[in-house]
Amino acid sequence: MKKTFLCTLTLIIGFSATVYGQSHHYYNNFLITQSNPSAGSSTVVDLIKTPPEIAYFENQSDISLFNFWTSDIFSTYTAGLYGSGVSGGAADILGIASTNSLAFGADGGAEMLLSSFNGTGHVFDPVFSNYYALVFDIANIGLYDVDVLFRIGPNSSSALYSSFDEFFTPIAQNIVSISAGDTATFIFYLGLAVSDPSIVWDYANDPYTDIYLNFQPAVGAESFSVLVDNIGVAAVPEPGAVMLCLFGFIVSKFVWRKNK
Amino acid sequence: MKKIIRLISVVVCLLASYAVAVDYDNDGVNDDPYRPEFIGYAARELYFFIDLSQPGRFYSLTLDNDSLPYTFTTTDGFVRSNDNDGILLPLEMGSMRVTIHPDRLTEGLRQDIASGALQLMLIEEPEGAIVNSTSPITIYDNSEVAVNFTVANVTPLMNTLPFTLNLYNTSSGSNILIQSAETGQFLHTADDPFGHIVSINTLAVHGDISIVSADPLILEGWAFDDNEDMSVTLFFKRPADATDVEAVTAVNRYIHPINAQIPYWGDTYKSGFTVEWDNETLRGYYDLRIELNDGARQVSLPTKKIFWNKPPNGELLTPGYDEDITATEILVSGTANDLDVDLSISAYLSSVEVYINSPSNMIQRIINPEPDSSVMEFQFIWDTVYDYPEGSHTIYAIAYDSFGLSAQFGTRTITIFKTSPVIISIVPRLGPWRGNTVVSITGSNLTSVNNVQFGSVSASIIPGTQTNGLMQVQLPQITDPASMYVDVTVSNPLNSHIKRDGYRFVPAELGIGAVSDVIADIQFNNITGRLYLLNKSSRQVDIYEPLPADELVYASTGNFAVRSTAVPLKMDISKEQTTLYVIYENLAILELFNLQSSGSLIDSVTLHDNEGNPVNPVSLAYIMYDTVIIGTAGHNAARLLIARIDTPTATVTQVPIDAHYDSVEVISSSNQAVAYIVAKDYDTNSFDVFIYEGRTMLLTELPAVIPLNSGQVGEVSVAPNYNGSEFLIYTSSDIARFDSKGSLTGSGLYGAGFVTYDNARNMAYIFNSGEQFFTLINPAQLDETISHISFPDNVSAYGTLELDWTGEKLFAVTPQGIATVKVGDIYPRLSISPSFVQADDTIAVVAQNAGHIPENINFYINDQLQSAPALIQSDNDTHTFSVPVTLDEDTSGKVSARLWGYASKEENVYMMSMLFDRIADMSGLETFKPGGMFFDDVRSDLYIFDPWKSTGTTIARFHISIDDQGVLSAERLAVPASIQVPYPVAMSRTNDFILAVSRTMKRCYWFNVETFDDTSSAPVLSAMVSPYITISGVVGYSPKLYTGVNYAYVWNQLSTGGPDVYQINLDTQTVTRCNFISPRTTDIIIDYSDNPSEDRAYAVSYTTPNKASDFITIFNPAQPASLITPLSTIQLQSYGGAYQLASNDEALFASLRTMQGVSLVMPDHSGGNNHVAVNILENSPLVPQFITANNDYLVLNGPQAANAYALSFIDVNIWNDYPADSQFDGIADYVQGSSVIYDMEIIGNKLFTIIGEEIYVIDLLEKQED
Repeated sequence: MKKTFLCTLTLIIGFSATVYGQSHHYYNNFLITQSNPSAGSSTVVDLIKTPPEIAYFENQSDISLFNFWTSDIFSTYTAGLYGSGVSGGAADILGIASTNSLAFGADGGAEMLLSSFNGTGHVFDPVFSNYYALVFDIANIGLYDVDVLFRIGPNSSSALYSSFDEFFTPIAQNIVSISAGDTATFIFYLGLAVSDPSIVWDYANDPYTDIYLNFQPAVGAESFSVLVDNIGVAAVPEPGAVMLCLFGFIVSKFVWRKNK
Repeated sequence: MKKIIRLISVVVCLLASYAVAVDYDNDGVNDDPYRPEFIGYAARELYFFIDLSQPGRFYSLTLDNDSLPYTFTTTDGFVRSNDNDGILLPLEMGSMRVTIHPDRLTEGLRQDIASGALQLMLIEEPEGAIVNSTSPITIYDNSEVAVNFTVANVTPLMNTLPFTLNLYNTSSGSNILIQSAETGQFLHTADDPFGHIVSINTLAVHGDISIVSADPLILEGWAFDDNEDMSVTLFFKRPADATDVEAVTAVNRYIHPINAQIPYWGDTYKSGFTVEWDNETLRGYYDLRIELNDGARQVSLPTKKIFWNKPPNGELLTPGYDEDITATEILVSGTANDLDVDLSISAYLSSVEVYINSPSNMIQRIINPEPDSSVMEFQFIWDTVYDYPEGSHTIYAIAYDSFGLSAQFGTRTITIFKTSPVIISIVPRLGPWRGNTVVSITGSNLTSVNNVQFGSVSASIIPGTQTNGLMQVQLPQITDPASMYVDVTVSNPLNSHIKRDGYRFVPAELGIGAVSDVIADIQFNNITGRLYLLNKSSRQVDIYEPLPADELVYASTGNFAVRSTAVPLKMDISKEQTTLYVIYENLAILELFNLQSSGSLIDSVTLHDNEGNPVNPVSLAYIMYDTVIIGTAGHNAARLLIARIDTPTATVTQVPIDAHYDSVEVISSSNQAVAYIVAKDYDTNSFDVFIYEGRTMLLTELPAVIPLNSGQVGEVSVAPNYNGSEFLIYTSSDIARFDSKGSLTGSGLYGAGFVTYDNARNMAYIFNSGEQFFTLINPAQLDETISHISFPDNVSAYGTLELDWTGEKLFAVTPQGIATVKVGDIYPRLSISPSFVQADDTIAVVAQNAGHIPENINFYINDQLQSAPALIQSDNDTHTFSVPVTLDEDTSGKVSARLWGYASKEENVYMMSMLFDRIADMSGLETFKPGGMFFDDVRSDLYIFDPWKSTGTTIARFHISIDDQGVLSAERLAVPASIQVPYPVAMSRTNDFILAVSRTMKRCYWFNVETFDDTSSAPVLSAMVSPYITISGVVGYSPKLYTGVNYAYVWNQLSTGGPDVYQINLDTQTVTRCNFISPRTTDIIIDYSDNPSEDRAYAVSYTTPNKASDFITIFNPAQPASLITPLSTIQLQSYGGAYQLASNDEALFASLRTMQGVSLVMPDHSGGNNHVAVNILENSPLVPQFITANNDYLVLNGPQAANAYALSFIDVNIWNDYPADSQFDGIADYVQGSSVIYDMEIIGNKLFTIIGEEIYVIDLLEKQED
């Protein structure tokens, strides 16, 4: 029964993903970069959102959860609600139908940041105690390839996943380059609970959880433009099961080509 | 005997019939008014006796019935004739006939008769009787002879006259005397006088009433009597009275003409008489009676009824005596009265006539409308005043009664002025609304002014002050207090003259409670609004505060004690207004009192010279950095001390000045940035002036002097303006203005006991203790004062004046309380729009509180009177003008206004120009959109780059030159083609290398500018941090002492989560991460020192909002990156907002783009961590992005609203802000609009900024403290 569900899910994801991208990629093999874990007590209070949703970008309010910055004072960004969602990928994992998404672009590098504590309450549960993974979709709808760098978890060196190592050297495994027109689903495994030995939530160093995404246009590229959608936490199977998804993806590609 | 009896009977009958003849109606009353007494007269018979019993009666005598007939008449119609009644009445001629009967004579007698020898004659003519036939009458036979006689004047006491006839015979000589007396026969002469009143000086006759008037009353008439000396007496009485009273006896007798001779008298009888009676008190009805009195008999003439009519009178009410007439028409009024009013006889007040100068110039005749009234009120408008020449005239009135009697009254001397009064000046032009102010008005034709209005307020003309050219009035308290200009109107009855806005009522009040004159000093707290009075009697500080309901009424609310064992002398207040500093007479102590803690004593600082000797303080002044300057006194021993109280233990230092001074007085500028010192030498009657600058702590002697009279050095004092950029030196007789260098800039030939500047305007106030006013002066025009203004209720004040920081309120100590004058209301208030203009633009200047006559407002730009402001609109006392800007594009200026000499605050006008308008070579810049700029101050090259352009000219270079006059010239210079990097976002310089960062290439490029100049083909090198890191900015490091390496620092604004600052070794093209945590570095600036090891770089990082605060990391940029460690961090009071840095010599500024405002950072240059970082300008609506600063200005830009990008200019000198709680002044905001404002650079006195696609150059005004 479980396999049937996953197969179906994978197919759905695959087909749905064809809506936006020439290719839809799944990225879940990220290197855990946390170097100095130091567990502490949970400070989870006053959740604004109820998991599994973190930000589905179905309405404008989700955008206001984020901070956006550009690379320099002359660069500008746009971050607005886009009238189509990124289907397949994280949406399917989360079991939601996405109709809107965040369109984010800038003339140069830019970043977006969701800090769990927004000054008045926590946007999401940093513990993810009942979920396996943080998922979201990014579609490159711009003209140029864009590199996506991230930092997930507590800030600085306590982050679970970061595009830079403890010496702030870029980690190629943790940098996703999305070609123009492609879509990528990001899956960060968070462990089942705080007690999961694979991941330690570093409360002591930073009780706040960040979801930080840094978009770097390729060298020479003038800008980037992406859709970000379906940020949530879900019980995502182990990577082995995901192979079924890849199957579905192949099928979807076939269908896409046929439809082309 | 029978005959005699018969004769008597006949006479009696005749007389009786005669008497009856005048009683026509037989009523027993005399009907003949002209003969009223004849009946009495007839009763007296005149008998002629012949003694017939004597022998020899030979004759018979026949008494004729009167004698010869005659008649005479008087001119008034009286007819008198003998009545032949046989009785001789006065004035009748008598006659008797004697008949000799010869038969009864002896023969001889008969013969004699026959011979005519017998003669008869009347002899011994009796007194009073004259026989007109004195010659003998010859008697012939029996013929009768007649003896005629008349009666002359007979003594009235004699009623009978005896007659003696001599009958004698001429032939025989015998005679017979016939003596009537012997027989008791006499001629009866008991006659009454008679007479007639011919006339009274009558005005008219009504019935039997004669209307008489005037004095004297004159009755004329005639009266006859045998006694010509009879008296004629006038009696009078009221009709109702029983008896009359003698009025007067006539003395004037004269011949009353008659038309015939009368016996004896012929025509010479003085029958006429005149009775004159002068009586001024009697008036009205009277009965007059004339009584004739011949000495024995009194005869009254018929009574005359008179109405004694006297002239009317009157009173002229207007015009008054000596009145000046200036109207074309005036009211003439008065009353006339007549006590003799009786319409039954047509006696009434008839009319009044008013004349000017002469009877030929009647102004008006007024008929009495109510003749039955004894009083007639009259008035009329004399509307022909202008028919008469200017000058003195006489006006009078005449009242007439119905009989034509008149009386002149109301004679007035008037002066006609045909010109209107004119106001030339009003002194003072200001006054408190509490009134009691004496105002002098000069002008012309003021003598005639009878009304003076100040708006709706009537002023009282002070008696005795009115001359043609000057008058004084006193103002009452206005009942509807308002701060306002009012028109001053002087009026005479003719015209008015209005001085528009001639006077201004200024809010002013007296406080509650008397204030004694033992106040040593007065100090205002600009934060709390309290007023402190240093009471040397009670040795305390009295605290006054305004009433909640009235900001101008101060009342005592408390006090705190100072040292009780000494007399307090002077005080000053700290910049924060929290500490009060007090010195005492003859006591070497400075004491500090905590104003935030009920005046508790903070510290007592011993004052001593450098040798440790105590001093005698006489003055003190607080200036910046918690420094109190103290001047002392002592013969050749006056000292200047600096007390630093910003340390836990106060330090006192003697500042070296010459030792010969006897007294040193200090006074600080209002912003407490500098102090001026007057060092006096009484021995030489001279003084020196010094300036002590708080910032530099330097004392400088100035060449400023003014002439002194002998012994006048004690009066010398100094008044600095608010920031000490100029000051006044004054004595009681002279005043002079100097700049801060001591150069004379103006003087006036007057002085004062006390002078203080207005803190906000180019004005000053002078005052002498004990006077009832203070005076406004323009320090820039000391040759004349502007106006004085009285204290409320015209009270006298003593001591000195105190002003608040904003120049709104002025305080003075008076015995009637604290006098508070809201002087700020005197001045026009300007606002201009726009403040940023280009050459030949016009600005709209709105002048509020500027009176009602726009023409009176003068505008100045940089103190130059503007000749062409055009009025756009007026609304009450607010006027909007269009003022052409007469400044060139490189000279910003100040706009000010003066109204009646009252200065507004100055408003800045910033001149803008476009850089590209000065550039001839614009090739390649057609699509160039400037965004950032970098000024290479080594070469004075300004690099402008386009961060949104990928190809072509992305970087342009301009050589900038600004001369001493601030005139800018710019020239475009070439840059190497290879430096035209795509999307340049930052530039800098390291030694000879010019650096540029490309956003898309994620690289920093550089070239050697020296080489480029030589070859124009210098190689361009570059370095990249990472393909995943976009370089956000670059700063070159060019130490003053070249270290042999060329470093530049770039940073990553998009956080890697850790160190985001990288050092580029330009020589090796290697990039090394600096090993310190500086996520999201947004800017780095470097503070250079002479030693590279002491150079400091400040890297600002912003954090995730709501997390840790933003911070600045300090490191030494001279170190290789591997050795760089953060020296310190400065925590800012912001979160996720710090963005760009700017600095000047004193501070570091960080724009806070998410919080609004700026973080002011004072790094601890000692290497410690005692940094100061406070947020300022938090209330600014502007969200700052770009920021730049110099030692005068802090300039921000960013959006302040949707589509409203703005530049905000901040006065970076906190000492220009006073008190200290308002930290910085926003000088000006330039709200551009939707065009985005980008980078800025301050070069010299110019701000270069990119607005839209233009590069604007804004000339920065020299700051006021410069």
